[in-house]
Amino acid sequence: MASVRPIIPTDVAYTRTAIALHWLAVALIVIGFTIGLWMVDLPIAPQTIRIYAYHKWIGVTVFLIALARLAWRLAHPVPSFTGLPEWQRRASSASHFLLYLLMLVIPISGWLYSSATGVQVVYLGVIVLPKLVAKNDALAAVLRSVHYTLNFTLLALVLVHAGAALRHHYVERDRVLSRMLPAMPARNEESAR
Amino acid sequence: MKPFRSFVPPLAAMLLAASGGAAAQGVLIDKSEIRFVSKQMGASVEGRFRRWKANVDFRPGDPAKSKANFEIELASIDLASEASEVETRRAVWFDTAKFPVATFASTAVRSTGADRYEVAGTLTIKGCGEGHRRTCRATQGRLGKRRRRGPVHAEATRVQNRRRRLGGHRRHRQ
Repeated sequence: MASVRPIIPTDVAYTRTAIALHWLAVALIVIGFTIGLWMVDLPIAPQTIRIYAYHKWIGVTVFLIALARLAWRLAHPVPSFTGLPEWQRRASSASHFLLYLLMLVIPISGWLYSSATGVQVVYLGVIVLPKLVAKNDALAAVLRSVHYTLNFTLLALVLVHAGAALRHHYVERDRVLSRMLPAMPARNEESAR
Repeated sequence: MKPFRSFVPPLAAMLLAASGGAAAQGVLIDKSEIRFVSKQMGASVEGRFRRWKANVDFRPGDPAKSKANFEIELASIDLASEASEVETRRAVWFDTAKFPVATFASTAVRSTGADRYEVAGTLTIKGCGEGHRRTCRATQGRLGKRRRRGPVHAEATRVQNRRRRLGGHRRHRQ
């Protein structure tokens, strides 16, 4: 990544790693969310159990990606974007903070929920995650609502996040979204300041 | 992957009240549990039976004279979700309409060291079980430090082939 810096000013582009991790998280969150909504209505069958397992694996992966992104972010500061109104800057920081928080908290809430129903989580069928709480039907019902509510909070935030990005791109016509899109070099030339 | 193959309780843990002394001892049902663990895609899934009866004559001083009989109401199964509880009552699994109760009847109890007992017996599910034996391990242990006298903790481990035991269970849902 260091070799890229002379060509792409850091205040314009996210690093390729940051971009890749962002879009990987997007894909997994969309898939995991959709599977989650769908699987709860499936009849009990071996296939359903497999789908529940995949949903859990996706959740754990999203959690790990969020950690990786935070670590990467510490080492590679987010490219600054000048010229935004103060309220947008604050709204953006707040929503990014909440997005990261939810990417970490939602998988944990799912893990807690699974534990409370008495079902162990075995990541990728290999890594046994410890049970966080003992089997408890009342607690499981609460955690189910928590997991559900947090996910719809995430959905709302994602819509705001994506809506803001699209507005910047198509209405404001600035480079807020472009810095998170792949194929930066060509775009970068035109915007070099 | 056959996640349902091990639905029948491979482990049943029974907590029996022990009041100490050599006299026969019964079971405190409300302080006891029959639990089991099954496997789904390598993940353990805990369950238990909510309603069961016990007729236990536990003689710590004379284990050979001890007896333990259990009647488990299979429809009272507690699993991860109500849907899976309903599933286990269907004819391909426990078939609780025809076979509402599973029984365990001890045939021999022996001490295997301090506070430990081995219980052999017959577990009958879906009407089959005669001639099959189960071994149990019983421990009179301390589950809580504040208890002066530990309850009895027993684990029943299935020793026979599950397939025979369950009869039609192989035809699980696709």
